Amino acid sequence: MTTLNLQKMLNDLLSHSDSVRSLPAESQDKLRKNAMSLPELQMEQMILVLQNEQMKMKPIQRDLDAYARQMETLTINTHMAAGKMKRSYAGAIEEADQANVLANSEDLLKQL
Amino acid sequence: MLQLLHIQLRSSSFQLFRNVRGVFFAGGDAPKASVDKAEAPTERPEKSLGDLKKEAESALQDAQDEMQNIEKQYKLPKDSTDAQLQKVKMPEKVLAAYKLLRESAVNLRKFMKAGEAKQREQQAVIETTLTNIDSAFAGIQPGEEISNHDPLAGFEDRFYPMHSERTKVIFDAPAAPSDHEVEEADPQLMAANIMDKLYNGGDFSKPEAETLSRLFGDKNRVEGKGPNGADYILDLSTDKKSVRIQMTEVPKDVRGSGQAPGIKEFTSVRVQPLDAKNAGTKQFNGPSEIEKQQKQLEGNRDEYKKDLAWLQTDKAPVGSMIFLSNEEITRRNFDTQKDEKFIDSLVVKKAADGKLYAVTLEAPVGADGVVDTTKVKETKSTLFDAKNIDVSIVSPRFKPSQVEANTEMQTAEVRRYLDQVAGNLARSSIFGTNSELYKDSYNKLNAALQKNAALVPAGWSYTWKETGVTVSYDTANKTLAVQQSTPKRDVPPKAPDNRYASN
Repeated sequence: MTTLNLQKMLNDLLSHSDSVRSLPAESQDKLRKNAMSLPELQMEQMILVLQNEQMKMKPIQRDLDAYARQMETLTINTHMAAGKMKRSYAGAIEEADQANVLANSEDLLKQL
Repeated sequence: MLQLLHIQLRSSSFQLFRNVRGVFFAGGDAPKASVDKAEAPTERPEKSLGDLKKEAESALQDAQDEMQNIEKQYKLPKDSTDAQLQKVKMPEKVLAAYKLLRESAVNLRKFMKAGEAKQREQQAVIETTLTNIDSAFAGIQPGEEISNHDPLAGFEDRFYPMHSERTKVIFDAPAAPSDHEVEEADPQLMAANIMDKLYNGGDFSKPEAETLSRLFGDKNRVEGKGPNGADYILDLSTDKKSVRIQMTEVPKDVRGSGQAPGIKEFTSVRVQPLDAKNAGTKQFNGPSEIEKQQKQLEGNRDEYKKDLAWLQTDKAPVGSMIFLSNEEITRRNFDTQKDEKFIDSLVVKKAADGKLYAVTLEAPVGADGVVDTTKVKETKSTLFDAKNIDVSIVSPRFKPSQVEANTEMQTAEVRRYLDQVAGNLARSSIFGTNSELYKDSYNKLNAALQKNAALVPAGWSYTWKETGVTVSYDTANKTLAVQQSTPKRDVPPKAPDNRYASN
C-alpha cells in the first residue's frame, strides 16, 4: 500500500473513530495532522488500532441501539401504565365515595 | 510463549472451520436464514441515549409516585409482590394497573442498567484505543536503535484534556530515601512502586535503581504485573546499566469483548538508565516483544499474500476462504442475564460471482465449550470491502490459513449466493422489468447461473414470500424466469439485500 493510500485509510478511520471523536476539536485536529505525517510503519500500527476499535465497537453499538429502542418503548409504556393507574385509582375512589355517600345516607336515614 | 498462543489459535481456527464446514454440509438453508437476520437493517432511535435516559428517569419517577400512592393507601411495602397484593382488598382495575406499572418499572430499570454497562464497555474501548494511538505515535521502527524515547512524553500535549488518570498524576520530585530505609522496605512493595514509576515515567533515585538491580538478581529478564493489571517485561542491558521496559497498555479485563484471552499485546517500549549520569550502551539480549510482533506481522502478511494469490486463481473453488482471525468473545444476554460466548472469525471468502469478500463468521459456544454449528451467522464485514482486502487486514497474532472448499461447501455457497441475488431480482421486479435495478440483478443472476451451472441445485427456485414473486431456472433450457403469483400488497416490500452487490 502506498503512503497516500495509507494516509487516506487512516484519515477515514480517524474520522469514524468514536475515540477520536471523544476528544475536543482542537486535539482531534492535532491528532489528525500528526498522524498524517507519521512513518508508514506507525501509520499501519495506528490503522490496526483503529480497526480493532471498530471491531470492538460494532457489537457494543448494536446492543446500545437495541437497549435504546427498548428504553424508548418502555418509557412510553410506563407513562401509559402510570396514566392507567391514575384513572383506575380515581375510578376506585369515586366508587368508594359513592359507597360512603350511600352508607352515610343509610346512617342518616336510621338516625331519622 | 507467543508461538504457543499462535499454535493454539491456529488449531482452534481449524476447529471452527470444521464446524463451519459442518453447516455447509447440512445445506444452504441454515446460513441463509441467519444471514437474513443478521442483515436486518439496524433501526437507530432518533434521540440520543442521554435524552432517552432522562425521559426514562422521568417515566420511572412518574411510576414510583403512582405506586407510592397505592402503597400508602393500602399500607403496602415498596414494590409489593403478588402475594402481598393478594392480602389487601384492592379493586381489580387498580390491582391490574399496579402490576403493569411494577413490571414496566422493573423492565425499564433493567434496560437502563444494561445501557449503562454497555456505555462503560464503550468507554473502556475508547480509553484503550486512545492509549494505543499514543503507542502508535511512539512506535519503534524495526532495526532502529532503541533510544531513551518515552512513549508518554508529549502525551498531554497531544491529548491533554483526555486520560484524566494519567494527566492528573503529578509527581513530586522524588525525595531520595536513605539506604537504611530501602533495606527495610518490603522488596515486593518496592518492586510495585518501581513498576508504578516505570508506568508513569520519571527517573529513578539511586536506591530505587539498586532495588531494581537486586530484583534482577542473576537474571536479565523479569516479568510482572504492575498497577492496573498491566503486564511488564523488564530486560537488563548487557552492561547492566539500563533497563528496557515493555508493557501492555491496559489490563485485559477492561480490554473489551473482542480480545482473545491470554493475548499480551506489548504496545510500548522504552529504555530507562539505572544511572542517569552514566547511561549504558543500551544493548539487550534479543529483540523487543514489539519487534517480535512486527516480525510476526510481516510473516503473516507474506502468508496472506500467498493465500490471496491462490484464492484469486481458478484453482480455488467457490466458497474457499482465508481465516484471518478466530477469537472467543463474550456478550451479555439481557433476557437471561447471563454471559454468552461466541467464536468470531474474520475470513476472506470467494463468492459465487468469483469475487472476494471479507466476511465475519460468528458461532455460539455452548456451556460445554462446544461450538454450536447450527447457528453460524455470516455477515459481510463492515470494516473491509472487496477493495481493501489487502495486507492491512492481517493481524500480527494470527497466521492466515487457507481453506479449500469441498463440493458441499461450494454447493452451499452457490445456493446462498443465488438466493441472495434472486432476492434482489424479485424485489427489484416491483420497479418493472425495464428498470436498471431489475436488469442488473437479472444479468448478475444469469451470469452466476451460467458460471456455476454444475453446482446449481436441480429445480432451484426462489420465492419472495411477501409478494409471491418467484424466480426459477430451467436447467435443461438454461432459461431464467420471474413470475408473480398471489401478490399481497398490504405487506410492505423489504429493502433489497445488497450484501454482495459489487462495489
